Amino acid sequence: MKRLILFLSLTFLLALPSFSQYAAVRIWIQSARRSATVYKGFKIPQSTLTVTQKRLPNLSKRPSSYSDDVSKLRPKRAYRIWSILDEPRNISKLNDEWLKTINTPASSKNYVSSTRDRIIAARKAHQPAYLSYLKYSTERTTAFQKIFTKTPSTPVGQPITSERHVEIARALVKMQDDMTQYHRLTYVLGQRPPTLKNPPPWYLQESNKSIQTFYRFALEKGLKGDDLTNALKTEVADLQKMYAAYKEKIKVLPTTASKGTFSNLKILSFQEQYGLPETWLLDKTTRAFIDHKYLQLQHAAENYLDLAYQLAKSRSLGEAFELGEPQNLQRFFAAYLEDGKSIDQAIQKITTDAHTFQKEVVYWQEQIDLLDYLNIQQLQSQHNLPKSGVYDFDTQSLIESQKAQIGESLRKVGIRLPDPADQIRFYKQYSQRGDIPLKESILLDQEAGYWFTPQGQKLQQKAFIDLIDETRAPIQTVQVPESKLFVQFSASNPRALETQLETVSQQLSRTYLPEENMILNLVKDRATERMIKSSFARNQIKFSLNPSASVAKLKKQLAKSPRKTVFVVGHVEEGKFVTYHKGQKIFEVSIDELMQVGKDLKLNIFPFGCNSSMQNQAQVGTTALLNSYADTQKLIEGIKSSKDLGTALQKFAGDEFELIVNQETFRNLGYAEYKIVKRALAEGGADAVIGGLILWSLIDQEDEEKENR
Amino acid sequence: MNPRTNEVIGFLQLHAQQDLDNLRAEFPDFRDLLQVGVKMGDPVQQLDQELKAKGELAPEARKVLMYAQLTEKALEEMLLKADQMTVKLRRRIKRAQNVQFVSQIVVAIGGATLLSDIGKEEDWVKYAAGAAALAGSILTLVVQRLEVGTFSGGNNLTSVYDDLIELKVEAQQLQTQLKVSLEFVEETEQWKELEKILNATNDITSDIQTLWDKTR
Repeated sequence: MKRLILFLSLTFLLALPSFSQYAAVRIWIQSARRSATVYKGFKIPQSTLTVTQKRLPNLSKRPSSYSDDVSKLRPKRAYRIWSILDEPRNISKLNDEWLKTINTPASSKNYVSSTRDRIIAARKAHQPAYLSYLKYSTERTTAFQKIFTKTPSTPVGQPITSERHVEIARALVKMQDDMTQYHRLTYVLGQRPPTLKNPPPWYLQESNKSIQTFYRFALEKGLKGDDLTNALKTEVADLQKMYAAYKEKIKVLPTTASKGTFSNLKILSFQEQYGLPETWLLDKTTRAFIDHKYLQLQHAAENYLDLAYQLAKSRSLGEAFELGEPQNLQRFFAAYLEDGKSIDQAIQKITTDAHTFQKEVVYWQEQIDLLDYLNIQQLQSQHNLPKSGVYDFDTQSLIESQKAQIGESLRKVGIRLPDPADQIRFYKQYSQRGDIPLKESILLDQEAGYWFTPQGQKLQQKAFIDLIDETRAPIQTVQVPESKLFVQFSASNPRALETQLETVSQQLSRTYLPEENMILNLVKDRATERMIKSSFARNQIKFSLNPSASVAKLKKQLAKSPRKTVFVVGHVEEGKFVTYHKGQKIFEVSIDELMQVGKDLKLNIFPFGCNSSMQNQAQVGTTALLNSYADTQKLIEGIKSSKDLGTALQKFAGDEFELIVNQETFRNLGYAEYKIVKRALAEGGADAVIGGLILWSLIDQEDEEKENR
Repeated sequence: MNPRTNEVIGFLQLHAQQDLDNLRAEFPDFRDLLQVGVKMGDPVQQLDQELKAKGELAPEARKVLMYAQLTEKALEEMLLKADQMTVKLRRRIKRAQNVQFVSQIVVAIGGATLLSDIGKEEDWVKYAAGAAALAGSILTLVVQRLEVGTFSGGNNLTSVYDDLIELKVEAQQLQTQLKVSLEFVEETEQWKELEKILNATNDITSDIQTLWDKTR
């Protein structure tokens, strides 16, 4: 038994899993059966749906008044409109709570019954909910009546008849497209309608957005019937216009996605680029920004084109812009649009360009003023130019040619004014003398004691006479850059001129020996004498200025300084250096004679006195009034602190004086070579003497030895 | 209106620069006229013409005042220097005279000794007398050197002193003339008078400066 009990218990234990497995299978089968029953129940609503679908074509079989408008619509859309208006059939959309109640199927049989039966049943079962619906329905009906009826055919508060339904549906169909447009545009333009203060309950319960928008629009406007339809149309038209305008404006302004069609993406890129809130919409902020930039650009462009037009530089653009259309502005602005360039940069560039035009306009206006014309029209009419009234190319070239003529006439009489404005002013000063030509007019002034510098400055003394004296050829000079040093030249062809200037350049840049430049003082002034003695004693040619002084004595003194350059400091009068002492003339020498002496003695002579360049035939020297003390000191300092004459003279001249030299003034007379040869000769002589002495002593010694023998 | 002022201005620049600077500060419109040195052209005339052309010719009285002050300062300074030189020259003359007196005595003693020693055989007496005569002669030469000094042109100390006194007197006269002309001469004639005084002052300034350089 024990064994059996053991066997059985073992068997039981082994079979236990199989039992449990069986039980599980049973349970599964039962549940599957239950599921199958439920599945059967689900098939029933499908037939209901089929019935509903079948109702759609029936719409066309509705009374003929429906068919006019509604039947033209697509079935689905027509159904939607109808279903909204057909309140009893649309209960499920309006009251969720109630819907839950009536949708609970008591049995599959009940469920397949018609909706109307269900409603009747539900009314009975749920009277309070139905009453609430009725109230809502009545209110909405009243709203409809208020909105769509000018002269209500049905009293307010009464249920809407099927005829009224037709009317309302017709009105809605008419407005549907406009409403959709309105809804879309207000959204794109970021114009969210304000919240209604006291909305009716049916409005709050309305879940369809487009209908809600419609109700809101109607309530906001307070209009009904055709007035409402027209108002909506006008509103949509306005919004479309606004939208189109911004679409064009945004095309003008540069964005990174500037190419391609207009889209929300483009708006986004625009918003990204200019740091606006990224709404993807043409909202109020974006529109304000566009308006601001567009106006800024328009203003800059108008200014630019106005000035450009005055200059007749881009007349066609100017005319195009006058049409005031964004595409013209876009066309204009395209020239300033480059990749990555912002509006502000482009506007800045336009403004800068306009500023340049402004300057140019002012310049031409000044020229016209200078040429003594009242205005541009007067100038154009007097010279038979096209009367454009702007600074066109013909007018500009006429002004330039007139200026050139004036400049040429002034050059002929020796006036060298670089600034055309000065030329014209100078010319006008003389053209006012009636019939007298400019040249004669200037000569008259010269006779009266007035003289002119080549810069046209009137002087109280004889200056630059040779430059405008007709009997002598005017001297031609070249100014050393950044200095007041002028180099004379006589060459008529460029190559010869180049050679001459090269020669002078070499002479002035040659390094000189310290003792090579000398000063000859012909001024009897103790302060000047003392200054020269203290600062340049070794380089002074000693010449006693007393009543017994003579040119012969001077020659003798000059001959002691061969091959040197001598700056003769002296009071200049009528082509002579004159020395006064106690009011008496004690010495005089002609500058030309002194320069000739210099040539004979192989010396360079530079006359250093007031306007000395006007007082000698070679026309070299200074062109200013000089002071014997201060200016000689300046010259000496210049010579001492420089290594060549060019630098020395430039230092002396500074900004105050003009110095005129030619290729004969500072010739290289070979002072350095002369000095070397002289030393070599002296050393050679000494060597010869020493050598001779040695030779003599040797010979003497030899003789002595011979004698001793 | 073209007086000579270069020497006067140079003299003041050297000896009384502060006075000259004050004058320049007082008359900035005549700064050009108060420059050291000579305009190596015809500056005054030109300046006048330029001023006329501008229509703003400086008032004559103001220019007169400027030149008068310049002359006054120059003469004051000149007399001061002349006084200093007089003292110096007197001292030098006195010293020269003293040395000359001593040298003459020595020469006289030396000569007398030589004469009295003729025929005597003491050698040292002969040597002493010769040496004394020689020293006297040398002293005479020294005196001559002192008198003539560094003066060139054969001027000796006395003649330089005479010149100085003459110049000093002349300067004093000019000073008086200046006062008279400023106080008593009519305005129309005042300038002519002042121009003369200024020219004369300029001339003697040059001479005074020469003497100053010599006696330094």
